[in-house]
Amino acid sequence: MEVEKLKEEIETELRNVKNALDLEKLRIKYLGRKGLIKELFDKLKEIEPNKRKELGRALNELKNFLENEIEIRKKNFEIKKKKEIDPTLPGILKQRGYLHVLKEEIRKMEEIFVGLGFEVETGPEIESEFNNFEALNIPEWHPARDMQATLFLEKKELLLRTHTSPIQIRTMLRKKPPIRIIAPGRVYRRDNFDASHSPVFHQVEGLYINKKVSFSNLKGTLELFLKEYFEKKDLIIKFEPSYFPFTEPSAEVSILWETPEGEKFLEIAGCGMVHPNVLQNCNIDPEEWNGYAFGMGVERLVMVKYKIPDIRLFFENERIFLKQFSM
Amino acid sequence: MKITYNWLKDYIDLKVSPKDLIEIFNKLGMPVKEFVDLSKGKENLMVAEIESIERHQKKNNLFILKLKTKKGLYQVVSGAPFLEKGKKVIYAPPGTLLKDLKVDTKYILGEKSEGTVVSEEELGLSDKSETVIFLDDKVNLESDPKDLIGLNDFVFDLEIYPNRPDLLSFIGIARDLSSYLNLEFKIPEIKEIKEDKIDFKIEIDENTGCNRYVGIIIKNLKKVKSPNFLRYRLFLCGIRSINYPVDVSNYVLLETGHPTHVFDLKKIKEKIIVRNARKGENLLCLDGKIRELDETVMVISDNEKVLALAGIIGGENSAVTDETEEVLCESAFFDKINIRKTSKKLNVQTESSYRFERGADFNMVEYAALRLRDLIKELSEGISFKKIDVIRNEIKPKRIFLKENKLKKILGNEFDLDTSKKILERLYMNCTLKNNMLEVIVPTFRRDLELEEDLIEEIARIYGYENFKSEAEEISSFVGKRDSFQDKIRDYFKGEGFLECVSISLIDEREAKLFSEKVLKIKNPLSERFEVLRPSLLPSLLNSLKNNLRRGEKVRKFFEIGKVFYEDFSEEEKMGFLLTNLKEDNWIKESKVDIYFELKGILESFLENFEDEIYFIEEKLPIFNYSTSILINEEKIGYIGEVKEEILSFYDLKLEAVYSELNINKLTFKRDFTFKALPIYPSLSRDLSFVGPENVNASEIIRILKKMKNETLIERFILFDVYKGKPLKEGEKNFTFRVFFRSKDKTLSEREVDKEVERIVKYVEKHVGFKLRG
Repeated sequence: MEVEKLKEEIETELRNVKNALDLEKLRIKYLGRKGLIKELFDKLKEIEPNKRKELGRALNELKNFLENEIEIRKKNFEIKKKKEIDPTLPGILKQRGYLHVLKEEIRKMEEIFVGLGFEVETGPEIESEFNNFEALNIPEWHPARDMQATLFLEKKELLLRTHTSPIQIRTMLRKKPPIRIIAPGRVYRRDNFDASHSPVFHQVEGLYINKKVSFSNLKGTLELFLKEYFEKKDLIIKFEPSYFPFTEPSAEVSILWETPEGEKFLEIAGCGMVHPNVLQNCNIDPEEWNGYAFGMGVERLVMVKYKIPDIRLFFENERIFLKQFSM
Repeated sequence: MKITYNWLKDYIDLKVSPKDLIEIFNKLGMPVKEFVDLSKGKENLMVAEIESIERHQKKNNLFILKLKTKKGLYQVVSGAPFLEKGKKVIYAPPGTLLKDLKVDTKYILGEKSEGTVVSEEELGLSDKSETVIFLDDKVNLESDPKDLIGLNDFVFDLEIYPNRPDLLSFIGIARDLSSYLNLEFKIPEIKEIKEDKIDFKIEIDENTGCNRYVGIIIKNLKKVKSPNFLRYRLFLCGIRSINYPVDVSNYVLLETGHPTHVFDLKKIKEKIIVRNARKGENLLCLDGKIRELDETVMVISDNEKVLALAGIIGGENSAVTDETEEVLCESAFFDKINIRKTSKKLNVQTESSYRFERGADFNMVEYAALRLRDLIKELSEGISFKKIDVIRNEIKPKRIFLKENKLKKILGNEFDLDTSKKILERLYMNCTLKNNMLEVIVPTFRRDLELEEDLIEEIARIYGYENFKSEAEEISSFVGKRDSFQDKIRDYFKGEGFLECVSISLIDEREAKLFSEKVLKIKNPLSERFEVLRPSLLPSLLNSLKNNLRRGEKVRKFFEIGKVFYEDFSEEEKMGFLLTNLKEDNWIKESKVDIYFELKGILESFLENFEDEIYFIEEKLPIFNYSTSILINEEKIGYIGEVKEEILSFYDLKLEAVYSELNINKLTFKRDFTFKALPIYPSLSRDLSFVGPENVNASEIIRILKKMKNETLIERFILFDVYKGKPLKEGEKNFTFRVFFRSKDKTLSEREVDKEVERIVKYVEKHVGFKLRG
């Protein structure tokens, strides 16, 4: 029979197909618009009706058979082609992003304090002399003004805040006690830009006002924070007398920490019990309420924690530096 | 405040070692900034006698010395003047440290020189020396030369806080140590001298800041040089030697903390008047500068001229010299604010003004005057006269009441008035228990103590901060809170591949002017580099880009969140984005994506987080080649544009950059997270091509289509083709949108969608003049 002969021919030719091109040629020869199978279908009309049905079915089978065979071979050729790819070439790299270490460390500090029940407050960087000094018990002619070299603006009473403490004042003027806040932010000093100084840096300030707050509370809370932040449960922390016009008593806080020159006590924060004059300046009765406040330099803490030798590195924003601290 | 250990021991019988003293100073609130062991590296200094001296054969001004010491003979080559056979000097053998340099054995033009003969300057005892130190001829070779010149000592540099002027003296420090260590301290006794009265007038004008003035006149002084021990002590504590009377005045300043001044009496006309200066007066001060005075400046004057700026600095016209035979010793009490104002105004800070502006001790005035007299007479002898003491306004000790409840509240229940009384008495306060309160009389040297809280601090200080328990408070009534909005945004852009920056917000004025004509200036900048506040975050980001490129880091994307400042003294928190056309380091050849549309796309996807309607409208901004402003609900919240080359070239950047700045505080996360039913009926899409004038921006049609979203069945649409050219007419442009329609109630029919399309076409035509194409 013609169809069976044709099938045998096709099978032989299929065995000889070596590549996709041969396969395509074979497809055109049999299944193309002018292909042999198409031709046979066209001839069906000339065949007598009783044979036509059987022949038609045989032709369809052949066509399906061939289509199927071609499809299988085609796939095989594609797979073979993919196998030629070098799958070990590097991926198409896109530059990845990194977050700034200062912002991330401030985030960590805030999260620790939030866990200790503090609320985060912020304030403007351009401040009034009242909020930055007077309200904090630093009158105009007080030598304590020399402790913070100030940058002034060309308008009376306005300056760039030298510490985050004005946020304490703003909060106390706005809210009734009890108050439990921390205030992170950028501060400015009339300072050189060298390995250990910067005209701009960051502080985190804390304030707690309630009916009965003790010096031991201050020690306890700050110790909790420092142990958590420095990830050291047995961190050795030292409180020594100091002076800030806005606290009384005042203390300097140091931690014992490994440095390139060996273990040393490093100053890390200033703190104290809020001075009654400060409370009074914020219309809070110092006989009824009292509290503690503390402040620390973010860059200082981060430099100690990660042994960073130069404060300027934070502000150069070099990826090669920032990627060391970002996940 | 610099002090030496041995000098301090003149006033208190210390049993603690210098090392232990560091710890005590820290605990007392006088942190030790620096501690120097003066004998360190100088252990082997020896007394030496010059046995022979010969001129060096190859160099005329060098001598070869044979030095006899307790350990034998040494040969040293020296160029110092005044060397003579038989003189006693100090020999430093090899290995000695002089000013951090090691002495060794050298050959100087062929002659061996083992070690050296030392000078005061090499030992850190003066700032310059003519020759080596010559010791007394009677000195034994066996003795330690360090004992003879005071080098077996230690220097402490203490930080004294502004509230404690009483600690700016040896007596004050000894007194505080005595309270803490429970030891006696001693003040040098004043000599009993029979003196005659002298007819000399001292007047204090009204309305001056002078409360008291003690003057003592001494005549017939012998001319003497300051002894070495005096010069060395002063130098170690940071004061240079001038002449004997001045050195002694400085010695009294360091000893008592009370500044005194010595005038050459012969240069004073008639009398002393403490008064305010008159406009037009000036004074050539001892630091060599002429200062113009006015009514706010308190001066010491005689009958015709200004002699000194009261409490700050003396004048040349009345200065004591080596020739001085008669002096007036001044010890006065000046008001602290008055001194501080003048010192700031005339820009002159001295050891004297430093102490007066922090507050002097009224009761030290007389003692300091007498002590100065005694010390001058000790060497210069002379005849002194009875002191002239003018008191205008006496300062009396303060009285403070300490309440037990306040004490217990701050320091804890283990404190009571009895224990407090004991501690305060150790601090030389008079305490009396009265009706549950402690009446405390505070001595005049502690004028910093004003409130009971101040006393509480003193009690805590002497008790020791380390002895307080650490006891965090009960916090169950507080809920911590923080806004994590910015963190979410930062995390988002980190995921987009941006490098976060934090920059100094002060910049150079010339740089700032590139971004804004009007900038906010600092009144007293320290340097040009930090003289104005940044008007934009772009300069910060361009600098960051530059820093990275310098290191070979081709970072493409940057962002920073921070304040920018305006000339009207306002500030605003912004978020700036910088994107450059630097190539990613890939092996794939990248298809060129326009960076402007890359950044715009990033921002559009980001802003999708905010449900509000967001539009980009073309707006020409001076720093950009082309730019749009970004609006949310018709309010401008930022802009984006391609940075002009002139700006990039200011930073020496040869690349393309786009920048966007957003006012992130105007982005509010007010998404409604209530569940909305998922669509169940299919959507239908139509491609609509609009033709219109080419000067119309895409944003205008997009805006219209967005507006129609609410009133039609438009679900969403995308612009997928922009075309100019044939077969369109000249001046025409074509936008093709694929618009998706969906109803939440039913499956839309072709007919219904046709109707919607008709409405849209009409609307677009009406508002922007674009017609549906063919």
